This record gives sequence, C-alpha cells and structure tokens, in this order.
Amino acid sequence: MTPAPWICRSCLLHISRPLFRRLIRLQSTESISPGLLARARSIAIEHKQLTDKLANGFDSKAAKKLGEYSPVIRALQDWDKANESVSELTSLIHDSTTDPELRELAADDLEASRSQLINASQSLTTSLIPVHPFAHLPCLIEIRPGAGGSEASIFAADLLRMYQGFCNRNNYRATLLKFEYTNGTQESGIPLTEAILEIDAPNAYGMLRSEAGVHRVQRVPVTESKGRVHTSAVSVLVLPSIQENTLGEENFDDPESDYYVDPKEVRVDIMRARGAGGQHVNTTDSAVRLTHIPTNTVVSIQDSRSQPKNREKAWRLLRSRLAQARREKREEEVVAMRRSVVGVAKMGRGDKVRTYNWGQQRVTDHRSGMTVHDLDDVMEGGETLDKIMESVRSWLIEKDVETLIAENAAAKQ
Amino acid sequence: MPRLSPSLLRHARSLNPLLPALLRPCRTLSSAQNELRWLDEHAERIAQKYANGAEVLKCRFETKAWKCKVLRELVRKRGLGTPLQYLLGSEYFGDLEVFVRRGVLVPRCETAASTTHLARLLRRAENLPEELKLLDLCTGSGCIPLLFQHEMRRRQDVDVSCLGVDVEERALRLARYNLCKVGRGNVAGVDGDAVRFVRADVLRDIDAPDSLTRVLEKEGLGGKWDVLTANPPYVSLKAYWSSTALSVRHFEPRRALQAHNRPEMDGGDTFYPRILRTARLVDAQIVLLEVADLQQGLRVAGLARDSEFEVVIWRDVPDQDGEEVVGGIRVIGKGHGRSVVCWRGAGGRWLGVE
Ligand SMILES: C[S@@+](CC[C@H](N)C(=O)[O-])C[C@H]1O[C@@H](n2cnc3c(N)ncnc32)[C@H](O)[C@@H]1O
Repeated sequence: MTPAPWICRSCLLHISRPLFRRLIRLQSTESISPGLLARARSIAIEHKQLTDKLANGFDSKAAKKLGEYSPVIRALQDWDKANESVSELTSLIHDSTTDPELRELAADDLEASRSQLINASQSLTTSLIPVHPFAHLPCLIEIRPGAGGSEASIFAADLLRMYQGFCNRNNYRATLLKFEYTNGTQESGIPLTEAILEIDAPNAYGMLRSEAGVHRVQRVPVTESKGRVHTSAVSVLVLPSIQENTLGEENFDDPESDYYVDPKEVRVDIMRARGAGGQHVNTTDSAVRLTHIPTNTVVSIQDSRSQPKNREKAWRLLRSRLAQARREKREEEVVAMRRSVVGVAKMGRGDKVRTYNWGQQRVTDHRSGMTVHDLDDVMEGGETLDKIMESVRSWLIEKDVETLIAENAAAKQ
Repeated sequence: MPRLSPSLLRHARSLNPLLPALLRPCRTLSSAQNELRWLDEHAERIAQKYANGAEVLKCRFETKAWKCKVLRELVRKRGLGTPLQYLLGSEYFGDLEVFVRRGVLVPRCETAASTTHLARLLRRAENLPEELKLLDLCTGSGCIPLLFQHEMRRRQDVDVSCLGVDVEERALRLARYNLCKVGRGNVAGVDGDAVRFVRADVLRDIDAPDSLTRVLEKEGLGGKWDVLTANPPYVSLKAYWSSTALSVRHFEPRRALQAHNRPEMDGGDTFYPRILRTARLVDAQIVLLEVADLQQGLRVAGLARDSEFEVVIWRDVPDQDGEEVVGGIRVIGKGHGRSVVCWRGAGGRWLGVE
C-alpha cells in the first residue's frame, strides 16, 4: 500500500483558508513570492522528467515522488490559468482600442479573476510545504503526569477522557493500548500513572501531533483544604503508530527505513511462571517486555490476558518510539538550520503548550495564542477543542510558510 | 511461601481495599492489579447481562450495586485460591481463547508455546503429506489440536485433521464445546469436521475394550497418524506435595496431574512408555511430549531413543536463542526443560532438522 499524502494535503488546505486571508493581508500582496514560484516551476520540470521516466518502465521510487509532486503541479496549473486571465483582462482594459462595452465586462471579470489568483497563490504556497512523512498514519497519544503530585495524576485522567471524548464525537476508533490507574481499576476521577491511547483513523498523526507538549492545569485540587490554586503539569507525547498493515512490508525489512527494527537487537522477556512451571502452577502473568539494546528503549505491556496480544502491542509501541526518535534526531539539524533563518518556535515534548484554568473557566493555547472560555466543552472533547486544535494547526502552517519563504530567500543569496 | 510484607499489604489497601485479598494468590502488586482489572471487567459484563434481563422483565435493577457485589464475590473466591481462569471462564492459549471449566485442567502457556512452535516449523516444511493427521492424547480442553489447526490454517495445500483423546467425559464435553466455539463460522480457521474427540484410556492394555487401539479401530480411525502430541499427567507424588501451587492442588483435577490408579507409586513417568508404544503403532513421524523438567525430559528422551526415535528437548521458550548438550541430548531454548521432541522417517525433514 502506498500512503496517500495528498489526502492530508487537502486537509491542510482546508484548514489553512482563514489563516491565509490573514497572512496575505499581512504581506499585502495578492501574488506568490517569486522565489516560491520559481521553486514550483522547477518541481514541474522534475515532474515532467519523472513522467517520462515512468513511461519507460515502472520505478516505485519515481512513482512515489510523482504522487508527492502532483498537488504542486495541480496548484501551479490553477495559478497559471488565473494569472493568465488577470493579465489578459488587464491588457484589455488598458487597450484604448477595446470598445467600452467589452471594457466594462472585462472590469467585472477582473475582480473575480483577481480573487481566483489570490486563492491559487495560497494553494500553491501550501502545496509547497513539505508534508510530514508520518501525517497519514494512525497515532498513539501517551499521557503522563508531570510535576504536581496526585493533582497531576487526576488531570492526566481528565486529559485522557478529553481525547476519548474527542475521538468518540468524531467517530475515530480509539483503543487504550496501555493504562495504569493507581488503584488497578478503571473509573473516572481516579488518578492515572500512565495511559497510551491508540487512534486508528487515517491522518490521525497529522491531526493530533500538535497536541504534543506540556499541558498545564490551574485549579484548586480536591485534596486542598485551604482553597489555594495549584499549578500542575501533564506531558503528552504523540507518536505515529507503526503497524504492519499501515506500511508496505518493505518498510520493515529495509534497514534504511525509520520503521526498521532488527529483531536481533531486541531482547524479549516473557514473565515466566515462578517455580517449576508447567502443570505445577497456573500463572496469569502475561506480561511482555521488549528491550531495544542499542538505545536501551524498554517497553512493557501487561494489559491483556493474552500473551501474543501483549507481544504485538509491545512491538507496535517499540517501533513507534524508535521511529519517532530517529526522525527527531534527523530533524534536529534541519530545525537548527531553520531556526537560524527564522525564529521557528519549537514544538517539542518539553514545551508548555496549553493552560487549562478552572477559576477563569478558560483554556489558552500558547502557540496560536487562542483563548476559549467553554472549559467544560473542551474537557469533554467537544467542538471547542476542535477550535483550539485547528488554531494550532493553522499556526503550524503559518510557521511553515514563513520558513519556506525565508529558506528560499536564504538559498538565493 | 514467604509471607507478604505488612507494608506491601498496607500499600495495596490504600490503593484499593480489594487488592490485599488478591495479593495472596498473585504475590506481586502489579499482577494483583491486573487481575483486579480483569475481574472488574468481568463483573461489569455480568452486571450488564443481568441489567438487560431485568429490562425485559421491566423490573428495576441497580447495575452498579450489583456489579460491586459480583466483584467482591469474585475477589473473595480468587483470594481463597480459585484459579482466575475458572472465574472468568476462559484462558488464552496462543492466539486462541479457550473455554475452561472446573474439573478440567486449565491450559498452560508453556504448552501453547511448544504447540505454536511445532506448528510454525511444520508450516514452513516442504513435502508435507496432502493430508496431515495429528493425534493428541490426554487432550483435556482440546487446546492442543485446536491451536495446531489454527496455526496451520495458512497452509492451504495441506488438509489437517486432528483427533483428541481423553478418559474424562467432562474433558471431552468441554473439548467439543471449544471446537464448536472456535470452529463455528471458521472464525479462527478451525474446520469443525477436521477435529474430533473420542473417549479412550491411554493406560489400558491393548485388548481391553476401552483401550486406545480398540477405540481407534472401532471408530474407523485406525491406521497412520503423522504427528502425535501429548501433555499427559506428569507430576510425581513428591512434586505434587512440594512443588504444585495451592490453587492447582486444591482446585484442578488430580487425575489431570497424576496417573490416577496408584498415585502413591507415581514417579511421574507412567504415561510415557505407553504413549511411545502407541506412537510406533500408529507410525507417527513426529512426537511432541510435555514433561515436568529437564530430568524427566532426559529419561523420556532415553525411552524414545530405545523406540528408535531421534530426539531433542525444547525448553519453555523454544524459539529463543540458547542451545546446549546435556547427557548426549540437544537442549534448545530458554527456561525449564519442557518438551521432548521425537522424530523418525520423514519427521526430520518436516521439522527442518535434516
Ligand atoms: C495435564 S492434562 C492435559 C490437558 C491438555 N492437553 C492441556 O495441555 O491443557 C492431562 C489430561 O489427561 C487426561 N487423562 C488422565 N488419565 C488418562 C488416561 N488414562 N487416558 C487418557 N487420558 C487421561 C486427564 O483427564 C487430563 O485431561
């Protein structure tokens, strides 16, 4: 199966519209920056070459590349068309030989064509933003209490419920891959030591990756007798979920791939029965622990009574963690370079991303700067949460566009 | 068994008042927490079922209160040693969920590991006969043939048929129930017609009416069986009193653990000579026998060699690295010596050892 990056592209386009009006106003230009246009043109040339190459025989790498380029090509064609009609109309209007009636018609048309050109410029710019390679995958959300003791654990459970509500409402299949409540059972209001929620919807990683970071809560804990407001934090990690059927087999066997894990480098510990084992005892311990020796990454799963199921979950988790780590490492250099070009805000696991304030019944996202007041709806995973998440995705795109433009400028110098 | 420390008990109670009772059979906090969660889910299911029934009868029903009651009762029973699997009604055996009942031994994970490993070796084998026949003696819940079938389902060029044998009617009833649950609709790829269960006594002399040979003949099942598996009662009298867990001794059928007729004489080896003789009689090419430990494994390996089989011993986890030679026998994998694997004729090629 080949992943379909254009699906998420179209979703990016969709969410980026309102933002772009802002951005364009900001730049007070209706057209695309010449640098980006040049980049699109060179992609078009490469696209042409690849098409010719594919005509002479199949090449899966070329085919994949072609698929990645096609949104740019489409956007460029639209832009060319819009651009052409704008200049044609303009010259018609400025041409003194044009008869007045036609000129009037042209003037009417020009307005429409101008706004088409603006749209086309926006689409072309977003189509040039590199798509996150994992965006199309399902994802895992890991929730862990940070500073703040038991209050943090309670808030961790609240966040878990929030994401579950979010998935429920949007009809995304969400399963708990791992959850540890401090008292062994699973009931609301019970503090949480760790939870991993798997969201099995196409594009889930692209949609939710911006949830990663430190979520801060400000409220009076139930355990606080003096009525003082405490601040506690919960860390949320979002990983792409790597399953065997989400990717072609080749990705697992190819040592170059981010997903590749050499089974020889993984120690499998199965909790074996104490004592003599076999008929002598009757164990219920089905825990499986995997250790990736080179990186000392350990995952252990014991939720299911079935050992094969635990093993499968553990492998999935290990693959996801390793793939994420590899990608982060590779990206570090890129990010460092970008940061020197423009002040791209980090979006790593250590950064405070959002504050939930009970006293003021508000939620503020520190990246997009958006504040909403329907705290209850957010905590239930309602539409207000969608709104915040959308603002963050827009913010991300804004950053990406800035970077793109700046990089282009830097490359030219 | 060492006493549980008071501080652990206190800590467990502070987390959940039901946990200390579970610590007695479980020994560790994390395993007690897991069991509590599973019991909790089970209580929830039971309560839901009652709630649905109550709705039909249009009477009021407090699901939550009922669930608490059920859970407390389950925890109480588990605390007294009832195996968790009897309380929940099933056990996972490899990739399958097998139903269990009081009076029939709960399948063990070591048995699942060796059965799975055997099936995976055969799945890769070339030159398998078009019809591969497996005979499982002392079949209990029927777990071994059902898992074998399930694992072999991907070999479309080979028709697998299995026969399970036990003396206990209770076991046979459960095995047939499992067949119909697992086989129904081919959910797990187990074809209902390809697995059968019959009653016979493995220890009887050949000419007794319920001896295995007689029964096979009578049922038209005589002739050749390619693979023979058995997890027979193998616990010696001494080990029965010193090494079995309380919940095994008190709640699982003794006849599944020890030769029943004269347990006081039982060194644990009673079944193996009989089974190996049967293996020669049905011309089995592969024989997989579970044993209590490496010592018993070496004794059984000796018997198998006397019957002109080649032999290796698998440990609990046969598919993990580890190999040594003990007493002239190759021992593979990690954990306790667990299975004696014997082969002759084509068996060596099927196992990939030749
Ligand atoms: C250790 S259990 C194994 C059950 C099952 N195969 C498993 O692995 O879970 C041994 C089984 O042998 C049966 N059994 C005991 N004596 C037998 C005999 N003389 N002939 C046939 N089966 C016997 C018992 O009823 C019991 O089900």
